Amino acid sequence: MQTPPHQPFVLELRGITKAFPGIIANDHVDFTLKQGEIHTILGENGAGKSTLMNVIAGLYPPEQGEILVFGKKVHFTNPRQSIKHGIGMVHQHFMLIRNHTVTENIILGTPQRFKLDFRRVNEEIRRLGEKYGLTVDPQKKIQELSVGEQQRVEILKVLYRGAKILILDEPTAVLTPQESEALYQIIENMIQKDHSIIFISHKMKEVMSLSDRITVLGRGKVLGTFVKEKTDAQELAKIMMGNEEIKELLVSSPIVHRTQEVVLQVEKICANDDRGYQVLSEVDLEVRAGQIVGLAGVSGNGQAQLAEVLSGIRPMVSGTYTYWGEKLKAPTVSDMIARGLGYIPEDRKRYGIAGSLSISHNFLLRDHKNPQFYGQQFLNINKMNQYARIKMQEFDIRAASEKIQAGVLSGGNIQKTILARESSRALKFLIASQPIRGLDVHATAFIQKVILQAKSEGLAVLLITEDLDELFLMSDHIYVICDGKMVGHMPKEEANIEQIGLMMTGVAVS
Amino acid sequence: METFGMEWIVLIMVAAIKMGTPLLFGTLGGVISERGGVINLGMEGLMLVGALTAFVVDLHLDSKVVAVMCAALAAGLVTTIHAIVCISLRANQIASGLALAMFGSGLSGLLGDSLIGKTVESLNNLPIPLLSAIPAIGTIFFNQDMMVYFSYLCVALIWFILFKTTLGLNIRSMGEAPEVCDALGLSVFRYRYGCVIVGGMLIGIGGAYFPLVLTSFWVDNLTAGRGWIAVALVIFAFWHPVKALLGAYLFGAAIALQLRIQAMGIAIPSYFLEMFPYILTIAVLTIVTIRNNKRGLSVMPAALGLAFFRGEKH
Repeated sequence: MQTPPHQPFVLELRGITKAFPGIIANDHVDFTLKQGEIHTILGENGAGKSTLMNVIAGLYPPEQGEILVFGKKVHFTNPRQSIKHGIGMVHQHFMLIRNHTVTENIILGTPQRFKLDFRRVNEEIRRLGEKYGLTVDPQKKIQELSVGEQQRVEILKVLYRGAKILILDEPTAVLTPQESEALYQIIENMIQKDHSIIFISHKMKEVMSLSDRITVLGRGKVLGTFVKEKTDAQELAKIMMGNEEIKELLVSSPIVHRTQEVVLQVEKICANDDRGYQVLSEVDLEVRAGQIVGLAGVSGNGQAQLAEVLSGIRPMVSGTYTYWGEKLKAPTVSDMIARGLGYIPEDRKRYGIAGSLSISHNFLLRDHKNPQFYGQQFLNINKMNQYARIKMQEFDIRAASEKIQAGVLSGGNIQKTILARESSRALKFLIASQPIRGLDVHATAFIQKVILQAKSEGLAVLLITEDLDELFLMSDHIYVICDGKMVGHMPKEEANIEQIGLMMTGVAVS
Repeated sequence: METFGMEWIVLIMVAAIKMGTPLLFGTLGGVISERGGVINLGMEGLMLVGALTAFVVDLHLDSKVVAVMCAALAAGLVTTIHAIVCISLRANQIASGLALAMFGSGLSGLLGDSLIGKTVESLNNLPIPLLSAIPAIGTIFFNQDMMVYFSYLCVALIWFILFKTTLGLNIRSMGEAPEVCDALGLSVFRYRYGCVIVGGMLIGIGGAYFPLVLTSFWVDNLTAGRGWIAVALVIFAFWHPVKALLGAYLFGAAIALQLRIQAMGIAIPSYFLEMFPYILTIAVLTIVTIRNNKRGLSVMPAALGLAFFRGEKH
């Protein structure tokens, strides 16, 4: 598909309006994309970015407005039509079939001969990948691939369908710094080959380095479109937030150095994964009261299992676990809750909440024995709901009612719900695993503020993160884990980003 | 005849294939349905519907081919209820399947009541020239009836379609991730309906084998729980048509052996012998599952048993 020379835009949206029951997700949105351009859409969670992208991808037909693709008016009612017009969406949550090979995933739904010629198609995909620097073995199964490789498959999927306009929905949210760098290169390659890209991101740094133009969305409306050279990160952040309170939120609390008592000390802990393979070998860790210990590592290097051991979910094979001076042999989850442990799991939707229960029921998950909510025989529903409303206000959880299902909330609101629940008990030790992954600026700042505040009141925190900015902002002391071993630890002042990055990938040991 | 000698083994194996063939049709039907993402626990009922239909048609029209075709149609029709309930109405597949099993047995019992005592002619064996002359193997595999040969063809055809064609890729994807298929423009409803109904038809053909070959007469509850073995065999076979063949014949052998030992008057309580194939079912499933868990293998279609909703936020 070629752009006629008189046609300035490959994609143009005019006055797109899309409403859901009770909310106008897109309110007369105008948007244009030029040939060979990277146009970023910036906005908080709930600003209407995803809805807008789904309108472009043909998943939601808009109620009002028109879409022009390569100058032609189109009317999408399903995703196949937008694909046909050269639009390809790379979803934030990968739409891949784990049990199938790369090739099978890529060709699924494309016109093929009835009898599949796998050799020919594999070769075709290998060549397509080489053209863009998207190297991945077509015959491997998705479950054997890293997150970065899986994303390449997603991109190949839309390129294979002949997409000229690509929508990348927060593509770096799940990537390691190295993988993100590789992705930036791939984006450059695609632009060189005449593709145009709509880029969605929260990360101001990459937005400012990649974009040609930036459109800011807020509460469903376009708050402004800017040429990159004529704006800066501060201005964009200000417009996006729509208020000044963020400034106060973003200021990190001063590092408090106190030689307080040791809350948690583990020595030479070993543990296995579900299949019985060793994933933690002789791990040492110490966390003191009023201290945030940051645990850095590329995901899948044992930090998830360490968090499970510490919270009593996973048994340890050997080693000692000392908690407030007491040696724990085989702690159970309820033991650890009784001892004041709070846990924000990495997979917040699966392990942090019960998605089909209401928000107020979710607040009760650890507190179901609390006499405040549990009368003689029955739950005190009114009291629960009343309590939930107070917590929702206190933690700025945005939802129509405390009775709606927790699973339909945005990531930020889910995380606030979990945090509100965990911090409502007398906490002594908090494990926060990837607490801000995928959250918008506002939710991130809020979560971080709450954790920093709790720390300054004497809470011991283990912060597990891949995000080095967060690591340096929050931690007092940094540990690095790689391949199930602690490869080093140091006070924050002695650490630098490059060295941590090298240690995370196993190149350097301190 | 020398007991437990070569000849005896061949005899058992011939019977194993006969006993295994209805299981094979049932398992293949289950494989197709579950590869598409829908569990069909109603096999016992569908087999009975197929069996009764085949018996009635053969009794009146005296045509095995028409009887088998009608059995497939009848079972396909009854499975359509399951398809509507599970796919369009998104009800629980387990509950619907169990209801289907009971419905099928009840219906066949009711309608078949007047047919008890009547008989049809049994389907003849049709030796395949040359192949049937191979010692042992020929007698076991190629001196059988048309329906057995048809089951061989089904195994090959289903294997080819599932793993070598676009259609098969689409079917397997429906069982793994219907939301992905939907986003790529494939109709989840169409494929799942197709899988459930075609699967149900094969199960019905499996049912037809009982009156047309194995018994020649009708009694209430003719299939005697074999449909439930087929349900387990789908898992045992890892949702794979070739392994379904191996599994079906293994259980066919267990049933044949049980009948033979009973006939020989060996002093084992008959109740225990009748239990044997079912005990084997439980044992095999347990071993297979433990082994798979150890290897971290997941061969079960990931979206099996899950209704598909087109997810909309807000």
